[in-house]
Amino acid sequence: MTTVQKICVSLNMPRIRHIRVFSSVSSAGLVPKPYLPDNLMKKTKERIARHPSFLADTLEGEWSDIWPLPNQFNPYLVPLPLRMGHTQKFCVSPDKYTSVELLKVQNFLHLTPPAIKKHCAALKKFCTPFPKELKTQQDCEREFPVETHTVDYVAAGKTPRNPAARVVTKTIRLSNLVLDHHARLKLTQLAGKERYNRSNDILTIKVDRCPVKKQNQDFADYLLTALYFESWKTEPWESKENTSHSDGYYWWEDSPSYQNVKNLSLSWDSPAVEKYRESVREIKLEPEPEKLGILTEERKEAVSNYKDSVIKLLNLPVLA
Amino acid sequence: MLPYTCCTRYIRHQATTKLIKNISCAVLQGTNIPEVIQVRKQSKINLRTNSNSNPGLASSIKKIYCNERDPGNHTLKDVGLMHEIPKEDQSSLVLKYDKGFRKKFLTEASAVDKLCIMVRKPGLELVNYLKYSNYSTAVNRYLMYGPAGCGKTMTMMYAVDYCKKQGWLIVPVFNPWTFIQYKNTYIVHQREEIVRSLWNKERVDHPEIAARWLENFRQINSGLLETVFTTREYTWSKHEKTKSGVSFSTLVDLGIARIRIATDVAGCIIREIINQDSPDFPRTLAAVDSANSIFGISTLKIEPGVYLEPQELALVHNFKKILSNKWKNGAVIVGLNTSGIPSQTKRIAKVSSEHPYDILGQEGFDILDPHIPIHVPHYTDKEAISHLAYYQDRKWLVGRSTTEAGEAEILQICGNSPTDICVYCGHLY
Repeated sequence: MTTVQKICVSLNMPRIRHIRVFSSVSSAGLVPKPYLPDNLMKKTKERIARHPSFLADTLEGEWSDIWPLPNQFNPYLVPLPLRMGHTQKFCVSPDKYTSVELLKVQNFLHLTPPAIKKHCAALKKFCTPFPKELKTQQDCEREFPVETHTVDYVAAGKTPRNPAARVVTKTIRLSNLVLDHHARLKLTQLAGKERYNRSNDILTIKVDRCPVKKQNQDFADYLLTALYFESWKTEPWESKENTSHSDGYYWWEDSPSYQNVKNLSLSWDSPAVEKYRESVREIKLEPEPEKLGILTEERKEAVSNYKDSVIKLLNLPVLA
Repeated sequence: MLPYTCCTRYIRHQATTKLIKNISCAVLQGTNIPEVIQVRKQSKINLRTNSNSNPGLASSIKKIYCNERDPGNHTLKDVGLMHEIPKEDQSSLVLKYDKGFRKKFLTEASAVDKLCIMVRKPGLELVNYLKYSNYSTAVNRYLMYGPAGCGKTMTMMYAVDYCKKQGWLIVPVFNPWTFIQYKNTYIVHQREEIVRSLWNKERVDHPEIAARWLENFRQINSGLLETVFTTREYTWSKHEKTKSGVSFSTLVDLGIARIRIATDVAGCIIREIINQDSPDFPRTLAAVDSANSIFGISTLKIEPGVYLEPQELALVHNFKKILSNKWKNGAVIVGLNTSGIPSQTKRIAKVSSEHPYDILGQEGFDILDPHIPIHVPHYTDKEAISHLAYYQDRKWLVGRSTTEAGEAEILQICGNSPTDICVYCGHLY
């Protein structure tokens, strides 16, 4: 095994079988770049070969000691014959000492698996075990109702930055918040239809308007607190006249339905009127259906309840 | 003879391609097969044997027509029988313009030479309510709802027939859709003119349509109009007046002759009905079909770019008054047209709806409340077979259609939907 292969084995890196050590091509007509005369070329080769990075014995200690932190590529420290860069015509491919491309890109040489293990082992004494009380998903939700969702992107490129990484999504189930009837309606209306899912009772806030993830997170926190406290306030314009049934309010006494029933001149104490009032409320305060026009079971029940209550109200006989 | 032979192939091609097109469109788009086909329940009749020679279940039915001419005497045992409307009544029930019955049904009736309405449970329910309600208090409203093509208009006409036999005055508003929405803007003669109203400057008249409505009104209440009198004086314009105590028939004649004031005459008739005082006033039935058009949007323009709202039309304003329950001594039957839910744009979404209040909207529900919603569902199995038996009796279905295999095929394709049976049998032989 050559020295380079030995180095590869000790560093836990994929074994390189065939290594082509560069040599000057001096056949007739073809001139390599950079061009050096033969004697000078020999001298530089010797000088390079003498460098400690090529000799396995001089590799002192672990790789993590040599390369502990993210660093720009140092060809003298890295014992691998890497090549990078566009090969020009009739030229040899540039080596690691002369190529600028290797300096430009990110390298993750500080993140070799043994280095990571060492780092984790060092951090372990500061960690506590996962609490035993949090066994199910519901336990976790009870203790930590707000869920933050962020995505980090890793790609080999010039920069480690990705503009999609600034998006922050925070979700919370509204049953974990203390809200009365008015506050809940107001919060769902302020948030809007796209952000509140009625079947789950989950409010989602997705923020991507700031350039940095931390700024977006702070903004999402601000939005949640603002929504919560605003929904508890009652403005002076939120009076009876300005609310409609689509907001979730329905005062039967002020509605046209009441006026119509008044025309019938009935006694107001009878239980038929109470039942009728309940059925009208049920129909008016129905949440918006997913698909308009289809008679689902619940809607059918609402309509038939209404029918029964009106029949009782008007004292009509039912067909036997 | 039966006039279907010449146009069988064309109609069959049309009907089946429409069916196939609907299904294939849905499949290509990846959506569900249209609800019209999904909602139908499969018939539970035992149609195991598919013999081509044995007569089917429909031929074994002996009693097809109902003997009672008065719908008030029909009972639950008569469900499935056909209630015939004789020729003398047809002249007053089948109106000249804006017919109550659907066009398909009338062509079928002329082919088969009989006009029959099937006695079904919703119809009996309605007539039962009409019989026993209290007419000294405010008016009761009845709303028919159900899937498309299941017989809402037919139950309404059944109730109208009952009321005519009892001697009621009938206010027929059968198709407000025609003057609120124009379906064909390319056929010039269908575009009627609209004029600013003389009575109230903010509203808009329909002179020709009001004249037609008055003719309809005259036709359906043939004998009664002479017995009803107005109670106050009306000034139509600077030079025209009518004194009080004039009978309805003269009013209607005046409206038809002077088209300019026809809408105001219609409004005056409705006002008289609502403010009735005398005990001699006959009971009134207001039959309003396609009521969701009144609460929707219109495509009429008074100036280029300015669309009218239905409330601004004087006819609609008057018809809305009759839907309320401020008057006494009568009943209101409201039917819905399921094929349109108005959206924010000026287009009607082509979604067929079963739910009544999605179509009516909140405004409609407020005006009609409290009313009794009556569900008109698809046929039961017994009714479907009696429909086929009726066709066989009229010699429309002969040959293979009377066998078990033929019956199984018809019921499988059409399910239990009345319109589909009508259309599909229209080209069978």
